[in-house]
Amino acid sequence: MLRLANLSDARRVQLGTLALSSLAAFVAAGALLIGCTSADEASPPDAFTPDRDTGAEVATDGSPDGAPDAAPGDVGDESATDAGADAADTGLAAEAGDAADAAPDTANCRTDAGCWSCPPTVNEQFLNHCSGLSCQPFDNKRVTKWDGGVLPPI
Amino acid sequence: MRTNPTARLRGAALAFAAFVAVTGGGARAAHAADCSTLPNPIYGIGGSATKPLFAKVGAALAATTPATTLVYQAPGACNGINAVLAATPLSGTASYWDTAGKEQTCTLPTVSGPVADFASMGNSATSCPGVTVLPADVGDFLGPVNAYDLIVPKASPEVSISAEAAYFAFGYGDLSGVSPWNVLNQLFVRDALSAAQIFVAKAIGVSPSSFKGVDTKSNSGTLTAVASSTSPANALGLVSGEVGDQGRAADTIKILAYQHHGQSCGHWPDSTATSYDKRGVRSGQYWIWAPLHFYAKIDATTKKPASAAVASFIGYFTEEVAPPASVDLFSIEVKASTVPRCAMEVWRTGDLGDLQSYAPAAPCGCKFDAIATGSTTCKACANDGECTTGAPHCRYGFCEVN
Repeated sequence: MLRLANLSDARRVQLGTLALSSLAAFVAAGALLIGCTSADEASPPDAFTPDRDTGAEVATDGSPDGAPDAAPGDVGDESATDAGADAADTGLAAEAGDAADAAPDTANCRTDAGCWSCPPTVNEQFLNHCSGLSCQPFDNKRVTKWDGGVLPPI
Repeated sequence: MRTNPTARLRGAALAFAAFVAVTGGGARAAHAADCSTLPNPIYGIGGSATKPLFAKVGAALAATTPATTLVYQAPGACNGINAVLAATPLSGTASYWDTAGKEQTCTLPTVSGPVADFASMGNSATSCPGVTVLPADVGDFLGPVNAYDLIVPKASPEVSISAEAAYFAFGYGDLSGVSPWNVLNQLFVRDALSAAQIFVAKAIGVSPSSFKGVDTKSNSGTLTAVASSTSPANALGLVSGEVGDQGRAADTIKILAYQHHGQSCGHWPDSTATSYDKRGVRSGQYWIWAPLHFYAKIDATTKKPASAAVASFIGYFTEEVAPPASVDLFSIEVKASTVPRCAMEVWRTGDLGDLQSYAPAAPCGCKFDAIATGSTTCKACANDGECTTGAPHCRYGFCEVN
């Protein structure tokens, strides 16, 4: 947990003046970074296209507009902030550690947005932590043969 | 110590070897060179997921002095480990890469061919049918991290999928009840010996041998099938992350955000659907990832590969041996869509094991970002003296905290 928090600090410092100007600015930035950004926000620049055999430009098709039943609003607990692009650019996925530093009581680690704002320690917390990464919920109501309980045997 | 691979699996491996021999393993067989005549060949066998990475490494090693030739057969992950465990002679044809990175084909003897120096695969050996314990004389060496992707055609309107949706789609096929993934011939799968299928199976809870759909035989086969689907709205496939990114770069497929059991939002391997920073993998929010495994016979004392050449080759990937100066393996790995361990912020033990925070002794996240995305907010440096107190360590050319 401590190491993850340190990583967050590192990345914050690497941002330069963003988080160091004042405590108020720091808290504000932390608040902005809580939550998973919806996929229709600005994407970081794709300056590099891996496996460049084709040399084709990568499509910027990350918009959820085409998602028939899974608009970000369907799972409002993960849509949250407008800081996603910056967070992704600067590797602030572990920024949750900031909140933990200020409020180590895990009873308050679940944000109103539904993500885990303290340093994660178990799978569920890692998977749902407030990272600032874009995400796209899938509406499990589309799984018509599942009642939300135990999955039936194949 | 080890349960030997079953006769059925050995039979399957031999059958596949015969298939490779007949077909040339998908590569051109005309005027193929004798593999043994190539400069200092190192023979590998395993999954097709690593071929994009090996193409670049093979080309770089071919250009070194003295040259080393990476000779590789890709009959599938579990066929690879079974060949090493059973010391099965390689036969048929294999791939190697020239200095330009172009895949070439060489021929192996019909009988008494070389035994593979290593097996390469995404999953651990014990996830393969018939392998319950790794024998003491075979080492397991971990390389860079690879993601496994669920993909749809570029024209598909879908952008995410849950573990539960994938469970019904691949487990029930046309009876899935999950529209639009309810058309059997538009589900593109592999067999139970494929690392991609083993990982997706483990993630969603379907047995690797129970997948419904069309077996595409290889990662590239899945990529082609999905990209060229005549019913793109219904198509769904699974591939290694390296190959998925190839398709994404070619603008023919999309990688779906994956929402694991208990996860409230689907994540991509990267921070967005269109980026290449692997933030989802590195932070652990994208669930389906694992380090590549290299298996080789080891020296009983050193526990390192018995062959010095193989020890060096595998050591390049485990970050224990510095590659030749002319081989920028770090960049090669990043550009092949894999993640060097030093760029990870989480780690796990075993295939899709529990996540834990991870702080590498010499982190390389800044350099990873610089190469993968073309930019980084980290300060460039030549030594620690050029770094500030907040990020005092000059690592791989950038100031890092640790």
